[in-house]
Amino acid sequence: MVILHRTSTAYVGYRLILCRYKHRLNHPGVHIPHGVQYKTPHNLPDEYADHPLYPPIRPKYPPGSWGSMDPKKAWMHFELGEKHYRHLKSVKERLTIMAYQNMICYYDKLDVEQINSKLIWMLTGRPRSPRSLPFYKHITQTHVTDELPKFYEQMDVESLLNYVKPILIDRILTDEYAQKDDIPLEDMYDKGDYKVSSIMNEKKLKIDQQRTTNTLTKMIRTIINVLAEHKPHLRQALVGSDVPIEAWWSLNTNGSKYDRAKWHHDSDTTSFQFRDKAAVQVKTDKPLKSIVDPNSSLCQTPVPFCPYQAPSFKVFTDRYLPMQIPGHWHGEGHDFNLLSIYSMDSIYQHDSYFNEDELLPSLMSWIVNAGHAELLAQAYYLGFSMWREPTYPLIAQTIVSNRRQWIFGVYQLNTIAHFKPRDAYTTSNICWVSPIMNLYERIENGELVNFNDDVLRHLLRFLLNEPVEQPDWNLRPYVDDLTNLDERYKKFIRNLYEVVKLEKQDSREHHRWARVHHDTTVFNRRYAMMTTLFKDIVFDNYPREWYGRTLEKIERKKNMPLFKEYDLLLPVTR
Amino acid sequence: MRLPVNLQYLYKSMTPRYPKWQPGDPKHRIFFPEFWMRIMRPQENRPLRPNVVRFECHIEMTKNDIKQYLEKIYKIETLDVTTIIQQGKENRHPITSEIIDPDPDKKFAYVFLKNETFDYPDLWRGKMPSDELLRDERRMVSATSKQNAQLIHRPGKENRHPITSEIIDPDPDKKFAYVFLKNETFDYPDLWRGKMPSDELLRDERRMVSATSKQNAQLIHRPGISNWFR
Repeated sequence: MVILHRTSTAYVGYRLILCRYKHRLNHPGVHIPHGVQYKTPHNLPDEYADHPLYPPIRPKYPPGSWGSMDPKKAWMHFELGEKHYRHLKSVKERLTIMAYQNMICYYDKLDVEQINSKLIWMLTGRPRSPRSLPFYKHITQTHVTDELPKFYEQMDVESLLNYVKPILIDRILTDEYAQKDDIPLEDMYDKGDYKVSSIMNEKKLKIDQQRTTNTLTKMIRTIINVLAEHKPHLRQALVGSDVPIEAWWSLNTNGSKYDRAKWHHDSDTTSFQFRDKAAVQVKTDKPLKSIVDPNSSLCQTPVPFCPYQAPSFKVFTDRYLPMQIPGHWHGEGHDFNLLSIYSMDSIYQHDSYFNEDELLPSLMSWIVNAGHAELLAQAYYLGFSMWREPTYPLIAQTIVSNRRQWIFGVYQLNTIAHFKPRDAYTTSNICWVSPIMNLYERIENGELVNFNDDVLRHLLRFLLNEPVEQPDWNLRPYVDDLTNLDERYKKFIRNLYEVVKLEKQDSREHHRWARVHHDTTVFNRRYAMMTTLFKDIVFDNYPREWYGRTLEKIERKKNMPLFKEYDLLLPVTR
Repeated sequence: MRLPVNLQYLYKSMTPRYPKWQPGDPKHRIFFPEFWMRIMRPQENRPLRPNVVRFECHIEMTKNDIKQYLEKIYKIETLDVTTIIQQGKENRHPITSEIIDPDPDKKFAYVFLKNETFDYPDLWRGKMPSDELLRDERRMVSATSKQNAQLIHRPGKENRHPITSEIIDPDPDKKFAYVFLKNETFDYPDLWRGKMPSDELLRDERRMVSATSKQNAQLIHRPGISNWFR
């Protein structure tokens, strides 16, 4: 005979009744996390089939060189790339999704919604610590060479130089002796008794930078105006000043432990974001000639490994959205850059204890960094990405200048896939840097002392370097033709990109009690609004991870799978 | 380690009491602040470049101070100094969670040398003090494991009152461990030259017994001279 025991009816009643008040405080002032959040395991489909359905046997590594990467991770990256290109047809969508995927939205222990972007290592143009060239070379996978290809020296520049030289000298001198306008109000009424040196330095730096920008823009514009008759590529060139340049990439750590700024897809990688403003930029429609063959021995040698982490070079993390800006918003300018010039004044303000010995490596690392970032952003605009390498090498010409001291550089980008380990690299990037040259020693009595013609020759060679395009080249192989999409889809794409464009970035300036999530909440909400307004397009085209997370996290139902469960993301019946 | 008060904050430290100076006296005053610097071992998770040295310094020293300290006193050319303040642990009361005895804040300086390299010297011959402590702990743990020792717990004799048989003055319990050593031998040293204290006591007792017996009464038992009377 079986005796059934009534075990704790009281307990059963308790559970049934008290759950009604889960939404209220347990005790005045006591917050206990509302609602137990169950981690739901992935639901395998419930379909019955007569014979067992196995997924296809796939090779250990996906196509391409993956080196010593974990095969699961390699397949994850491969599928990410496939998804990226299959679902997102336009470059604008790709850029938005890349920015959005760095956001996190979570509910802290007081049930308050926290929206934030993840940490990224922020790189600036000017290196903050001395002798950091090996670090930047390791990050961007570049070799620095001394040899320029011959076609630069074969350009005939003399006649042009003689014609242009007096005009440029005139421009420089007028800017030197130009009257200072727009004195700020606080300076007008300043008696001049006590001036704080750091504030004076900052003001002087600002004035210097503006002057440099003005002078350089004027110089470039005069040369282009002179040459425009004969050179069609300069006729259509766009010249801009104070141009923002930003680029984001993720680098494989190759075993060294980085405890922050990991890329959310792959915890073996850290992400870097370059941010700088170019003083002048000249843009064209067509790509430049390459300087080094990507299959040469120099490109095949791996770049020396830098075992020291980013904080030892004074590179710190900040919360930022991963942006790719090669100087213009997508669709609003020419995609290729002929020349970009950076102003060197900040080096003298901040790193005044650097001698001439330390100056050259700092400027070299500036050029390497800036050239790489510019070209990376360009590559993303052209449809390439870390999963699809550029099919032709991209070139950038960079100058870092102070109106007096000039340094020239040419950067060639061969690879973008920095997230792969070191043994997976097929080529590396190349940078040529010139020595520091003085345009003039000083200005005395309205004259430039020791004027150096070589600087002008280099500058003219850079501008005369004509971009080349054959009619049968496909410059944008991975971008589909968008003219056949319906108007609604085009509107959606445009609006999505606007969400990224109007985005000011968040940084940890306030304490938690004072932190108002200014624009990251705006970004998150606008993105959510876009995806709900254009729900049908999103549901048809996007995988669930890219829009569904906001909804799921609001309902607090499902968490993103851990890496070890990644295999089970897609159902077994494929 | 808590620094003495005069080294914690410069404004709290007293200047030395100089004698009053009059014209013609030698100048004894030294204008030297209470700055100190100490070389530190680099942290394991942050490997340093060969030119970089890690110092701990007085919390009120600035980057310029550190630079001039090294350049003027030790003639070391520095290129760059990075300072970081590490806040000491606030130790709280276990119940009231009030902050009691906070550890002092520390300032670390990473100094970038110009023309030299520095490698933290190997003072401990490859071992670390923490390793030694770990080894001691492991030894203690292994000594208490049953394979290596036999433990005998002998409770002490409870001395009872002769009449009430109440426990008065119990002997303390003793625990004996027979430890089997791995690589060594041990012989209890011969401290008493072959004799035992208990033998001496027994012999005294026997002497006293024998002295009171009549056979030995002829022996003159002469007590020692008591100086007190003299």
